[in-house]
Amino acid sequence: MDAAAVRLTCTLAAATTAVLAVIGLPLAHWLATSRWRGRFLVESLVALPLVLPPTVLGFFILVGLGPRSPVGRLYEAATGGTLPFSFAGILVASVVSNLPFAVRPFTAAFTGMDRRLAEASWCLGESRWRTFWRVTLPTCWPGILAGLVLTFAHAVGEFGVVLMVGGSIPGVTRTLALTIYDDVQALDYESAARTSLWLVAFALAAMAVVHALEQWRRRS
Amino acid sequence: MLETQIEKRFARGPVIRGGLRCPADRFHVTVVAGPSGSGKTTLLRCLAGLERPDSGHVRFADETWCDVAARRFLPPQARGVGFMFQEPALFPHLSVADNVGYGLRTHAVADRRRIVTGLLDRLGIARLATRRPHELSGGEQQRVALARTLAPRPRLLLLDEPLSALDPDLRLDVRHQLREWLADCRTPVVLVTHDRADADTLADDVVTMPVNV
Repeated sequence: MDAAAVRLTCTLAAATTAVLAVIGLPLAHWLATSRWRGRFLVESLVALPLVLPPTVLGFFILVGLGPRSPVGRLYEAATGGTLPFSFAGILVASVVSNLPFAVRPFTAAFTGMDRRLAEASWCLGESRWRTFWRVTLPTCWPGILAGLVLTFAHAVGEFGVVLMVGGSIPGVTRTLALTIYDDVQALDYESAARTSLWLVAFALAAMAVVHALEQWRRRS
Repeated sequence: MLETQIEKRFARGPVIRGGLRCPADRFHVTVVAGPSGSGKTTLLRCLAGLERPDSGHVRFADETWCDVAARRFLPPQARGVGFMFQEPALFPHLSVADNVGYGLRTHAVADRRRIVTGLLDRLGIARLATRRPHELSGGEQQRVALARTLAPRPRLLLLDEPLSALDPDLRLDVRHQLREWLADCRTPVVLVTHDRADADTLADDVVTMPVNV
């Protein structure tokens, strides 16, 4: 296996998971507690990457982040670089396409919590923020952890959007999933098989963790 | 005085109307009675600030906690009420002692320990201090919930069916004890029950919710 690709893949997946914890937890908490009637529209937007072809998502991200887009110009003014075909670019793409894999399990975890626990905390004088840290997080952690593992595992295997936005630049944007594609193009089936088997083993381990957490949560 | 008059409409449900008046500065038990579905719990939740009425007001002493017409609403954290749910709703990840001490975060550790120990003793559950909620019987959980509610010394106690988790034998004993425990706090109490005998034993005053159509 390509060591640079392994490193890049792990960094990308870890960064995606971290960003989605910061964005996804508040968003999921809002989705789980809001009584707003238009909530389903936000939920549909979050779920969109599940059904959209990665090429469509990748195309819009590529255009949206390009040097002539407002985001691209802002980024260039701030850092001097451009987003497409860079690590920052594939990170944005990976975050967008992994949004449902983080937000949906988080939302399920928050929805499953007894609402009265939060209300009891408010009546005991604790703010919503403190209630989140003292009650919501400690009671919902198995579901949240499952969401983080799922997000990491799915980000490791990301292919379509990363190829669209990042190209396949060795050491910069060529992740493990892309090396398999390149190996097959180069008729190096042996290398492709090795990498594929490793990814199967990793994905299986991740799914085992997710479902063990789910089973554990239902029992307690 | 605690004085309230509220109205709340639920989608595809009945219109809840109700109100009560009671002294705000001393021990006084107001029992809210009425058939199920008449909105007893909703009235209690509006007093706590867990529910916003569609119209009406809640006033406590010289404070306005809620006035829909004046667009005024004080969140539950700012009201200083103790609310006991029909189900104990204990924090499952905390021991009995930590549940009872939950509302005392800003107290010094020694104070917190003294208050928690005192309450557990008073309610006869000192031996349960290190247990987790799921290890307790329904009646024990209810006592822990009461201790947790009393610990921060609320200015107003709101109890929703506090005896419903107990079996009938125990209920008779606890009914008398409950009034003693509540009297210790020297605060007004609003208590919801559908049980006639509870109301007779506990109440200084009974308010009946009208039946809605």
